Order: sequence, then structure tokens, then C-alpha cells
Amino acid sequence: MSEQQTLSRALSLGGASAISTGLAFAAINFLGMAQLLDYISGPMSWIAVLTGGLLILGVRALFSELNGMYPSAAGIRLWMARAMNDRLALIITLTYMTAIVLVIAADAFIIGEAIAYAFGNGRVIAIAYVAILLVGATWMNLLGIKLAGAAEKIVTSIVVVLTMGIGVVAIFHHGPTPAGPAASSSPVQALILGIFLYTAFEWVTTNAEEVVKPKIIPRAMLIAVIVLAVSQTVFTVAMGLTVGADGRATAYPQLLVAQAVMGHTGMLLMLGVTALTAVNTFNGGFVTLSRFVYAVAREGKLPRALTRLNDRAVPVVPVWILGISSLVLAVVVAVTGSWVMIVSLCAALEMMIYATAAFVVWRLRRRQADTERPFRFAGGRPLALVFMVIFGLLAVISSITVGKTTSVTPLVLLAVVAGLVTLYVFTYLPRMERRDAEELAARRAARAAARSAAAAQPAQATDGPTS
Amino acid sequence: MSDERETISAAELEQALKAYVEKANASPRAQKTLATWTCRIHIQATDVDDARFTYVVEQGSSRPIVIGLDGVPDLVVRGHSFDLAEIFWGDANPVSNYMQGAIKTQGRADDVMRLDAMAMFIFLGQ
Repeated sequence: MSEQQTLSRALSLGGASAISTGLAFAAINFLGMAQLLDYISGPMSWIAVLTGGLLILGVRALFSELNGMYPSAAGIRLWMARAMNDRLALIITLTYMTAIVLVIAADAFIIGEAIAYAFGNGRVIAIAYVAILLVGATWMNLLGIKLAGAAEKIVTSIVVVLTMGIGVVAIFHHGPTPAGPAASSSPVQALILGIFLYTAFEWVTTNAEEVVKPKIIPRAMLIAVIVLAVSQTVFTVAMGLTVGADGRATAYPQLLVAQAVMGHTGMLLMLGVTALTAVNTFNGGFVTLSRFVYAVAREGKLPRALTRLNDRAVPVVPVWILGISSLVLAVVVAVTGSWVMIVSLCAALEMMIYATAAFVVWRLRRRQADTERPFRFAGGRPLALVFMVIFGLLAVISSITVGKTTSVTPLVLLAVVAGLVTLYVFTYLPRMERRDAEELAARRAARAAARSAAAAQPAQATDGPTS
Repeated sequence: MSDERETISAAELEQALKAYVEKANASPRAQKTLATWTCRIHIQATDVDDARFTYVVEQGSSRPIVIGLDGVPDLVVRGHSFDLAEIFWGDANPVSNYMQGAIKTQGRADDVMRLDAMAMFIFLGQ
């Protein structure tokens, strides 16, 4: 934005950093750490987490350039539509939004399982906890209740400090080290999971209009990446030193880390941390997705039913859809025990969007060479192309791997979602667009006639009555 | 967003805004749904120098339009005079123009959504 102005409620660097960190630090990250330890031994796991962090710094630079050009909550729609066909941009965006449903479902499932473990309940009770959590989150969103900026900062700080604290205690007071993999059987898999631990940090770019200095968002992302790198490296190493393969195969390995070194109290403390990560996920996920769906529907790209607001100005239909789909997905995951698949799906979607961002930077450097860029991706077009290829390959690998086995199920699931979106975009959407264009043309014609009549009236009055 | 946009004068934009405010205060749904919304909005046309207005919504009620930029805003809305006028005439909706990059905002996306909600209630006659 060219003109700087003071805002009464501007977002500070601290606030933006907390949002970026909080969005990335989801409960599902603990499962990512556990899976990562299947490929690399605990004491060496820092290599994968930090290497992932290095690549993420490149992603941060890509998003910083795009965010500088389009500092808007609608940024992803704007920069993609300018770099590629709008239909394709819409297909990618709507498919990518599935990741939010997956993360919300996964977090609800993990917390349900963690509570059930902490209080000695069975699988059925765990599913009941999941349902209660998601019904509660949906209800709070329908009431328009969301975490205020200050509360978000406090929640994120508690999550990071306690995770690091428990991790440090585990590193210095652990018992016999469980046997890990002799050598990394797949460094690429370890790298994917290392990157996965940072994903969603870039969602803070949707807050770009709340800052008065354009540099705040890139700096906030940098701080978030550093905080995530340090805290998650510590906890991954701690997990590798304290929990064996059986423990890591559960849906609550983080509780086992705390329990191993701090007993029942530590386990309950970690349960609290896990619940707090979900506060951020539910808060950010529900608000981001429901408002985005509402906005795309108002844009005329999704059915009008999605623009219905309740008496608290909350888009009810998107919130209900998100709540119900997350609940169904979480129950399916709980019944089938397929949470490892969720990690693969989320990783594939995130790698896909990172590859897309690299492509957009590469394309816009040529198409919009003269556009002002407050932040420039240092490597230029060649390095953007390299990032596109790397993340494209990582997306493919993520989508054909579940845990340590090769499986095309994630790829098939993603293809089904993308296929349905494509079908919608090429069949139903054109009819809606035609209808909207006709309505707009009619309104404009009526407006032009009214303005012409209004302009003619004073002229007649000036001319005076004709005899 | 129109392809060939004419420039709308500051006087005509002011008229559009005043009519919008009247309709907003006459809309029972806008009054009810936005009853907790308070927002000071600066509206600036990028192609007409003197087209700058302050629009204040207090507890869902719209105050009379002030010419010029008054006070520290919660939300800044900038755009071509025609794109802004189309919003206040009810021909285009704020979020659609925003999603297509026709208007730019500074402030919270929540406030943009509420401004859009108000426009929707007004022009659906709710």
C-alpha cells in the first residue's frame, strides 16, 4: 500500500509473530515429529528439523515478495489470478483449503485421544471428546467468539515456553535411550517431515492489512521460523531420547515424553499444552476458512447460500460445513486409526502451495517486472524455479507415502478433491458467472439511466419553461 | 470492477455515501446484526483529489458522512472513484471488489466483512 496511515488497531511485530508461530504450531506437529524419528535417530533429528527450517526460509522469502506486492487477506486469490488462468487459480486455492479442514480434524482427534489417554478412557469416549471439542468450536464460531490478539500472544508464548521447557528437562534427565533407526532410511522423508513442522506459518500474510509498516509481516515470519526451529528441534530430540517406536506410533507421543521425565504431573501439563495448540488452530482455522469461503462466494465464485450471515455477522453455512466435515473426518480417522495419512495429505497440500508460490514469483517477475516490491526474493527467477521443482517433487513424494510405506491413497484422495473442484469450476461456475454478469449489467444500465435523468433535470431547470 | 471506468466527482460520491448512510440506518437487519460494530472508516478515491470522506459506524448506527479524513481510522478503503461509487450505489459488493483488487483496504479483514454485510442487508432490502 503506497500511502502509510496510522490505524487505531494496528498489528504489532509481536502480535504478527505470535499469529505466525501459533498457526504453525498445531497438535499435529507432534505426530510429525514422531514420524520424523522413524527416519532419523533422536540425537540426530535436529539436522532434519533445521534443514527443513532452511528451506522454509526460502518459502518465507517467496511469500514476503508476494505479500509485499499484494498486502491483502485476499492475497492468494490476487497473486495467483495474475500469474495464471483464474479457473486454475480457483481450483488450486479451493483444493488447498482442504488442508485447513484436515488440520482442524487432526487436532480435534489428537486432543480427544490425549484426553482419553490421560484419564484412562477408551476409544469410544475419545470419539465423544472429539465430538464435544468440534461442536464447541463450531458453536463458539457461530456466536462470533474469537481469540483476541493479546490472548493469542499469551497462548502461543505458553505453548512455546512449556514445550521447550519439557523438552529441555527430557534431554537432560532422560532414561535409557530407545533404539532408533540405524541410519536414515529416507533422508527425503525426514526432510519433508522437517518442513511439515513449519507449515502454515505463512498464513499470517492474511493479516497484512492490519500492519502499518510493510516490513512487519516478513519480519514476523522470520521470528516465527526461528522460534519454531528452536522449540521443535528441542522437543524432537527430546522425543527421540525418551519415547520408543511403540510410543511414537500413538496419537499422543508428546504426553509420553512429559510422562517419562516428569511423571503424571508432566503428562497433564503436556495435555494442557496440546489443548492450547488447538485453541490457536480452531481459532485461526475456523475464522480463516469460513471468512474466505464467504468472500469467494460474495465474489460470485461459490454458491450464494454460503454468504448467509447470522445475527452476529458470522457466515453460518461455511462454519457449519467446516464443523461437520471436520467432525466426520476426525471420527473416520479415530475409527480407522489413519492419522498418519492426515500428515501425508497436509504435507502434500502445503508443498503444492509452496511450489505454486515459487511459480507465481517466477511468472510475475516477468509479467509485472515494474510493480513495486517492498521485499524481493534474493535468488530471482532461477532460484524461484529451483524452489518450484523441489517443492513440486516433495509434494508428489508426500502424496505417495504414508508413514514408512508407499501408498497412492493420499494421491487418490487429493485427486478426488481436485477433480470435484475442477468439475464445479468448469460446469456450475460458468452459469453463476453468466447470471451475475447479466445482473450487474442490468444494474449498471439502470444506474446510468438514473444518472442521465438526474443530470438532465438541472439543465431543464436552468433553461426555464418553454412556451 | 469495470474495464473502462469513468471518474465520479467528489460531490456525486458524497451523495452516494449519504444515500448509503440513510439506507443503512433504515435497515433493521443491519441495525440488529451489526449492533456491536463500531468502526471509523476513511474512504479515499485514488483518482479524485478531494474525494476523501470519514464514515463512522457506532454500535451499528451510521453517523452523518464527514467530508475529509477525520480522526484515526479503524479501516481505510481506497479505490477508483467509480469502484467506490458502485459499492455505495449497491451495484457491486465491497468484498467482490476487494477480492478482485479493485479496492484496497488497511485495517482488519473483520471490518471489511462487516462493511460488506451492511451493504448486503441494505441492497437486499433486509
